[in-house]
This record gives sequence, structure tokens and C-alpha cells, in this order.
Amino acid sequence: MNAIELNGVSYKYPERKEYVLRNLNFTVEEGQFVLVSGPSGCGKSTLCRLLLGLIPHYCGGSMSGSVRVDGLDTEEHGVAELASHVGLVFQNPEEQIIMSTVEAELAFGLENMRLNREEISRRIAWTAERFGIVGLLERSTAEISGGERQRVVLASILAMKPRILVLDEPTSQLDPVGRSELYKMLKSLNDEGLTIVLVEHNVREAAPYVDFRFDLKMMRRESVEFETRGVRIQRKTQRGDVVLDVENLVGGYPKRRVLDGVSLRLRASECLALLGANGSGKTTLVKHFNGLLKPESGSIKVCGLDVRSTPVEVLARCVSYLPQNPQDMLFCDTAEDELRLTLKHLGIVGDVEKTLDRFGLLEHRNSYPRDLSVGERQRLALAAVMVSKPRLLLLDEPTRGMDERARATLQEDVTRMLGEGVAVVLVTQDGDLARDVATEKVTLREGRFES
Amino acid sequence: MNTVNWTLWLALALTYCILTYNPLYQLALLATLSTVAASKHKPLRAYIKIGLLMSAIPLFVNVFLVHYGETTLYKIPLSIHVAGLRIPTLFFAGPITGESVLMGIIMAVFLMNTVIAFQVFSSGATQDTILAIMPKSIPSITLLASISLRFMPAILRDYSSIRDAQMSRGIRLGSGPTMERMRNQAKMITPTIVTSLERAFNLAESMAARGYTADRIVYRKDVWTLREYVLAAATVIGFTIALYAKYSGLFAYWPVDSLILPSVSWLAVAPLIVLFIPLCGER
Repeated sequence: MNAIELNGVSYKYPERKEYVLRNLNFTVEEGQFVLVSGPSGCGKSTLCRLLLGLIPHYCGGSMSGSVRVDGLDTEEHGVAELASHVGLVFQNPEEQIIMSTVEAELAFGLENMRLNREEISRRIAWTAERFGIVGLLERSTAEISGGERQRVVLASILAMKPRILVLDEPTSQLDPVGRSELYKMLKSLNDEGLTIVLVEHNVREAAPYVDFRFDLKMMRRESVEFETRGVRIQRKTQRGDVVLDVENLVGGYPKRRVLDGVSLRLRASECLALLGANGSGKTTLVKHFNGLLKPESGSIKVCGLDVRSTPVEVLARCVSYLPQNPQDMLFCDTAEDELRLTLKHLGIVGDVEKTLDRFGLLEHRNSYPRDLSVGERQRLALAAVMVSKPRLLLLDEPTRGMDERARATLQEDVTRMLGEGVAVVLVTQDGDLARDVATEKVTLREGRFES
Repeated sequence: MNTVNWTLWLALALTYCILTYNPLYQLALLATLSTVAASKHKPLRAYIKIGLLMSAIPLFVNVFLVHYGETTLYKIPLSIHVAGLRIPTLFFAGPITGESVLMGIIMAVFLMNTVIAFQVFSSGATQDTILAIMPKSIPSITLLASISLRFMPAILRDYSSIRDAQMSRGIRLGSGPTMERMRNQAKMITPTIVTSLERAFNLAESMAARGYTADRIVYRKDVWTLREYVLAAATVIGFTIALYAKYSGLFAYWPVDSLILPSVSWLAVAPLIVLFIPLCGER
């Protein structure tokens, strides 16, 4: 029997001219584990919403064709009813946590199902045991780590015992260990009979666990055999001037020390990949390099400027920073204006059109930035940073949510910039990217570089 | 204290705040709420900042735009001369009066009291427990309340991230001329609100994805012990006294026409004692 059946589905969001999906046919049998891939903006998140009935019930828009999940037509049955058949895990676990304690979070869906308290209690105990979060039950959801949060979200959905699980890029914020753990957990759930649809950019890592891959852009099944990703770009290493000089840095936040004696030196044309588990202090470290955080002790010099005494706005003329969440960068009315804003505030001239073109955003130059897909927003934020041609570029998880094409573009860009003499600090969980572009790799653990 | 009692406590604090313009009562309320807030060991700085920012608006409006009252402190002329140029003062022209200054201060304290009351309330009642006591008959109100409760902390977090990102692009927020910094700060408001609204939308979608319905079972119900009933009764008595004080004129004070000395009645102060209830031990 088919667990999921989409027949001739077309859909466009309210007030949009373009259809996101056109005449999509997609079938998944009971107990299958399917990987859905495709470039940013091809409709992967839209597919997830269709499977739970959020489209059309919640999002509105214009839809044709039919969607059946677990034998139920999603147009005829409401989201609340479908939620006990289909569990949906969204991209960002931060935005899915509803309650203030882990136990309440696990209970939330069960309360909506109107189960009696004894049954809720049984299911909480079972789920907590199954996902290894018994020790977290009394904890505040605001205090647990990113990986724990992801597990809690997954557990709270599976506590509802759905027959189909849909996950929309669930690993985008996980470190390699967390990703591997999640895939194994999903495989074990699949072995127990759960039908799984996994939307994922990271196809190579997920491939060994799935039955087949569905390319949403091409609208067809693809092989799960993959060639080794990317070809390492050969680059002549040239030793340039010291751009970043960090001596015995101790720092963090007013009430929490995160870094404890970090030293490093980075020259022009060098790329340092900063690796480490979630919460190891990588973002905190790079925020010290452009002055957003000031050192408690030790010294940092960027392009010869002392970070402690130089305002962030002045440092911004030689160091650019792309934060983890690209949304934070975007606040203009058009994509083009985002790049112009950077140039205006830095008082420099740059080639806006060429930069947009390089990032495949020329066709979106007049689009409202927040209307772009997650991957496109990430690329726009990167373009807004790169247009200023900085001497030091700080990239904090730049490939998060990016498809293969955008990732390859990023890799080419970073390599090109290194060739032009720019130094790059790359915070990443993407081991392949680090291998392909970095001249040096270091791992941060508990505020220190691992020897 | 259970959530119903926390809600009653908040209602009493806000009612008391609304019922009187008497500055002595407003200041006594501020002292009471600050004492309770301090005992909760909650980080108050961010909320005090918000309270002060909010308070600055009525203070400014009252002092410079309301030219009512008989006690003139200073008179703003119709125009001022700067570097030989005559600049009209428009709406600002007119007397700054003692009455308008006093009303500005009262309104500022009023807003501070409101902010602190909500801060204390949030230290005792969690969003989960508030969600549990919401009326099931009005699902949209329950959903709205649930999302609103998360809105303020989310705005503060989002503002901090957006500020960092924009400073990294060279936007002056921490240095440079004051006017430029203020203009740039103002530019942060729209993306912060848009981001928070998007977050609220995503949260609502997540709730829908988990079958949210207002007519739901509550797994952890509020506990009603004898102590909770006593506290509820005390708060109701506090309410009754406050309303009696209002309708018997004990709260009356209206310093708009002329400056008058506020009077104090011990009966009108009595409800403030009830507001110390959160100090009577944890539940």
C-alpha cells in the first residue's frame, strides 16, 4: 500500500505569480525511507507542507491535484487530524520548541490528541527512554543544546506515533557526530516500520540510509550512488602579510567565559577552517575577530588594528562577517539594495551586478530579500558581504541550507578570493568544504584548540 | 503560587496602577513591585531599559507639547535664532508648566509599573501554565496569547543578532555622531519586527503541525492547596479594597489645572500589602 500519493499536484503561494510545484507525481510505499533533494527554491519545504495538509489548510494559495497520506485526502481532513498520521520536523528546531520544559514539549502533541493523562505519561516515558532524554525531562527548553533540542523536537513528534515522518533539512544545524546519530536513529525507526521522507541537501551522507532518492527539480527517482563530491581546487599557496594575529585570547560573554587561551596567526591567502562540536565556542571566537565581542585578556590584531580599541564599524572596512542566520543581514527592499547598502556604509565602490551574477542572483535583483528561499537568502547575505572585497572574511556556517550548486559556487568564490589575497576564517560543520578550501584546520573544544 | 493566583496578582497590580494618578500611590506601587522583582532574582536590566524608553515618550509629550496648567516654569518662544536664522518652534511653542511636568512623571512611573508587573508575573507563571488556563471556547485568543508570550523575549534576541550583523557591515550603532546612531538604530526596528513576526508565524505553523487545538487536555494541571485558596481570597480582598478606594474618592488626584498636594489614605495603600504575596515562599 502507498503511504504517500501525490497525483498531478501544482501549487503556488498566495500573492505569487509563479507555481512552486507543477504537476508533481510522487509515491512512497509503506515502510520506505526516501531522500528528497533538489536545488534551493525547487519546492522541497512546500512538499513537506503538502504532506501534512498545512497546504492548503494553513498556507492558503492555489492548489490542484490530490495528496493522500496514510489513505487520507489532505484536502478533506484537517491538519489536527492529519498530525496524528504524519509527523513533520521543520528546518530550525529553535522555532519548533513550543513549551518551556522538555516534558511539557513532549506532552504538547499528546494533549492536542486528547489522550488521557495515564497514556500521556506512558508515551512521555517511552519516548524519553527511546531518545535518551530522560535526564532532560525537567530541564528548560531554553537551556538545552542545539543537538538536544533537535532530539526533543523529533521525540515530541514521534510521541504522537505517526505512521509517516517528514523531515525538512533536519541536519542543517548539527555537527557531523549529531548528523550521523540522527541518520542512524532514523534508520532504526524505519526498520521498525516507520515511513520516512527526508528532505536533505547533504545527499552523500544521507544516501547510505535511504531506499531511493527523489530529485524534486527533475521530478524523478535517482540513484543513491554518488560520486565523491567536488574536486579539490589546486591553488598556489603564497605567504602574504599577517592579517589576523591572536595572542592568548581569553573571552566570551559578561557572565560566561567561553574561550580560554586561543592563539593563531593568519596570513593573506590563507584559509583557516574552524571545526568543533555545537557549543564549542566557534561563533564566539569569530565574533572577537571583528570586534563584536571584546577580549577579556590577550590581544587580537586585524589588519594591524587592535580589536579592543577599534570600533566595529571601522574594523568592517577590512573584515567582513557572515553570521549563521542570513536573515539578520537582510533588511532592504531589494536584493540589489542589500549590496549597495554595504558599499554605502563602508564608503567604497563595488560591482553590484557582477557580484549578484556570480551568486546566481541576478534574476532576483529586484526581489524582496525575505521572499527568497532559504538557500537564496544565504547566497544573498554572502553576496552582500563579499561585494566589499574584504581582506579578512569570516564565514560562520556558510553552507547551511545551501544546495550542491550554491555550495560549489561558494567553494569557487572562496578559492578565488584566497587567490586575490583575502584571508578566510571558515566556521563549518562541513568536513568536505574544510578539506577542499582550507589551508589549515583546527578544532575548538571547550574554548581551546585541540592539539 | 499557581498560575491562577499569579494571574490574579497581575490583575491586581495593573488595576491598582490604572485606578490612580496620585504620584505617592504610584511610587509606593513602584517600590512594592521592585522589591518583589528583586526577590525573584530575574535579570531586570533589559526590562528596565524598555520601561525607561517607554516612559521617555509620555514624559517628553507632557513636558514639551502639553502647555496646560497655571504654574509656568519656562516659556518656549514662537521661534528661536540660531546662527542668524529664525527657526519656528511650532508645537513646542508655549509654556512648560509644573502640572505637565508632574503628569509626565506620573505617566512615566505608570509605564514602569506596568513593565515590572509583567516581568514579575513572567517569573512565576510560565507560558505553558498560562496556555493551560486560557479559555477553550476562544481558540484564536489562546493561540494569540501563546505566541504573544514568546514575542518580547524573541524580539530582544533578534534585535541583538540583527544589530551584530548590521554593525559588521559598517553601520554605525556604537560610535559616531549621536543623530546618525539614532537614525541607524531606528532602521533596526523594521527588520527586528519582521524577523519576530516570521518567527511567530513559524511557531504557529509548528503548533498546527502538532495538531494544536484549544480544546485540549492539560497534562500538568494547576494544584489547588489550602494555601492557594487563601492567597486567592487575599487577592480578591485586595481588589475589593482597591475598588472601594476608587469609588469613595480615596484615589482622587487630578493635578492638570493646578498643582495640588496629594493626600494619603492608609486604606488605599492596603492592596499593596497583598502584592507582597509572591514573597511568601515558593510553591
